[in-house]
Amino acid sequence: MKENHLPPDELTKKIDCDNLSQDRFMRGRHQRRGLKSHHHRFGHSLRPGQEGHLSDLRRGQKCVVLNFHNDNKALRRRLLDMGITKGVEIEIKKMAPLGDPVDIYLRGYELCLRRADMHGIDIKVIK
Amino acid sequence: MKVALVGNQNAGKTTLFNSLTGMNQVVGNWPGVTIERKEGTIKGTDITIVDLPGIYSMSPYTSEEEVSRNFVLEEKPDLIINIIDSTSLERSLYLTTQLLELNCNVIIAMNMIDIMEAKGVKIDVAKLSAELNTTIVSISALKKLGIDELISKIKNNDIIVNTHQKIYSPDVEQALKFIADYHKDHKLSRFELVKVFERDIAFQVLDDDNIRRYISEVEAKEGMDSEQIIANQRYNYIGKVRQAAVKATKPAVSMTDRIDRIVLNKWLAIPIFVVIMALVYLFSVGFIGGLTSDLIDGFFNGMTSFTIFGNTIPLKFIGLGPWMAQKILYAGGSAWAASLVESGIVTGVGAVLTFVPQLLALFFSLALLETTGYMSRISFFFDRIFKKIGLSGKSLIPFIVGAGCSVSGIMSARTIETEQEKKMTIILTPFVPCSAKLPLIALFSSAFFGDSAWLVTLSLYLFSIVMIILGALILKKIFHTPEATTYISELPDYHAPSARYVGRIVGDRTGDFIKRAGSIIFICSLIIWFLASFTYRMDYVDGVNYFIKDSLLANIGNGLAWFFYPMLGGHWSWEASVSAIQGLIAKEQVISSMNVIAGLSDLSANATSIFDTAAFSFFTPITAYAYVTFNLFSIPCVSAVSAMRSELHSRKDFIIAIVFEVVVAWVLSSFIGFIGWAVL
Repeated sequence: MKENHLPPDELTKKIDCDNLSQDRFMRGRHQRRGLKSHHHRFGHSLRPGQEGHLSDLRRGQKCVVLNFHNDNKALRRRLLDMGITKGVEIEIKKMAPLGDPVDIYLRGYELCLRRADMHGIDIKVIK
Repeated sequence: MKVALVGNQNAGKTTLFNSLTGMNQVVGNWPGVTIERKEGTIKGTDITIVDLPGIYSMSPYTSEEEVSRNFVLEEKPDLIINIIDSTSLERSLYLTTQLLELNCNVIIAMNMIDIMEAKGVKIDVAKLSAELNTTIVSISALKKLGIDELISKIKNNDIIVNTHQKIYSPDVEQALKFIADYHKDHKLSRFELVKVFERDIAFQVLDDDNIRRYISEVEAKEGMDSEQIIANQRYNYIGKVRQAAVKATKPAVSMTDRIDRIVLNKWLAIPIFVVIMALVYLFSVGFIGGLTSDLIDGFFNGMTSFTIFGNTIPLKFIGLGPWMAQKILYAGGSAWAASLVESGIVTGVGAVLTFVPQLLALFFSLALLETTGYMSRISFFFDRIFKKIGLSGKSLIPFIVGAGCSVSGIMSARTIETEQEKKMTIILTPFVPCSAKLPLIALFSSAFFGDSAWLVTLSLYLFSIVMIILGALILKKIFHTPEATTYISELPDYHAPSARYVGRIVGDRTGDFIKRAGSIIFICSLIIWFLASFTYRMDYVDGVNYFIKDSLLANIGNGLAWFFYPMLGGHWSWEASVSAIQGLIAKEQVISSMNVIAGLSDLSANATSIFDTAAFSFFTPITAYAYVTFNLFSIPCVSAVSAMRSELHSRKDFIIAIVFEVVVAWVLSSFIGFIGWAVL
């Protein structure tokens, strides 16, 4: 489960590329291309009823939390403390100008998280 | 009796603390203003109240949160005031459910109910109190409403006794009972039982096979691990409480959201930030500085005219220093006594006081940033960039606070979750020009760059941003401990700054600066005057038999001048060297010392600026820029150095920090100075 430490863009890349050297090459290029491609990567996202990660959602979308897959115990604990528990409804409220972090709305209040941390939260889209 | 003030970050604990005690602790509108416990006495009683850093749960995440948890668990207060931010009720109540498991009475102070009502959410306090079986007082910490009621409840102990409601599912309650019976002789509190059930590492000693097996059974039944079970059921319970006591009408788009749409807009965010920061310096250094610095300088040292908005207005004034010197001479005082007063004290202290209006303006602007809620937005949108260079978006708060004072900047780094990000932020915070460096910047830029002084000032600030980024990249290589980093924060609602608090912050900080001028700078000016006025054989430097180049100070400076030789464009200047070293005492001491030396080196002088005197006439715009650069990036003053030492918690890191800063400052300034050398 080592992959979970990687930012989501690299994670997808890991799955996409079966050739390791090509993966390295791509990663370098991807980073050089910078912020825009990152943005784009999260742009085409999920429809209601589909499942995915919290980090896949666009602004204004709503979802229900299904589960956690996260190795960082302290972070998991913190997210639980902040009310991100199974079954809770989350809405993507605001985004930082560069696309990360993201401001989410849950349990009547707002919270800012990085996409990398949101990736560890499995969700089902409801809106 | 001891009372602890516990609540989420940015819930208004310190504001309430100030209202309860009549004290004057710093408040702001971002999460994590308070980083240490502070004690006070509730007005009109002998009850001690302790203000603690904000926490979200009793499982701390950052070092300043540990302070709060340890206090509550180990020092066992007699009563906990749990301040609740009504605008994030459910999350606040999560902490409440944990506090109610301790063997301690809790009184809830519901803050900001008025804001919720304005948002169309009605909270029935009586109902909520009944549901939680806990005393609740509705307050507004900012408007000082409900404070008397709170105090009287505390004083008269008019508080519902904490009876530990059973909020979990029957299975979990059974498990808790099992653990309690298993460790009968330990008499565990409900809080400890839950911790054992959650398999908290801190409570591992109480763990054992039988208990673990029991917990696993419950986990299997619920389909999640025990930590999740507890968090889930707490929030389920809170959801029920909320449903009973809170009525929400459909909320309209709030003012905060509307402002954020612009301020956090993809294209506008960074231009807005740059404009705001530019305005801060245009206003304080350019406008206020241009308006006042000639006048104040004239007041201390004499003037014949002053310039305002490009018009030169004749105004003859002898100046405080020369006037006092005259009086001393008339009264039959010796030449050196007159010189001590004029060239030592008045020049040295006056040099620093000249900048008070600019600092007032700077502190005012910073206080606005801190109290309106904009600060958290900056941190929010910079996180992505900062993450790349090994810092956190939260590093921006120490940096901006550091524009006031490095010491408070360094301290506010405590809210950063990751150890390495925190370490790097602490080391880089002194790179931000603090208010004491502003006089130095303003003096040099107005002397060498005239009308574009504010632009040069701004350029130095941008330079410091560049250096923070480069510095971060270097430090990342030095420390090189890759770890998963996180960023969890909040965007507090914007609110109009309270005039009272802005006034207080500005007053406090300006007061500190003036106090330093009257104490440290005063004494240093005396010492510098003495060292510059006597030779090592104690002959008075009178400008006839002995010159300032024979003085003790010149001897000391000559011992240091090699170090500054490259950055001064190959100029051997003991004057500039000895002044720069004094930046260690306080950064504003650099210009204070330069003024004293300039005054003494040109006894005949009718010089209008220190850069017309023999001592400093060698400065060119380039070497001036190099010299300022060195002072900006080298080791901060002693107070900041000791703050760094204590916050870094490691001698090795501290030494790295000091060496790093000296090397960066020296290499950079020498490089700039070298360009001057090569070009001219």
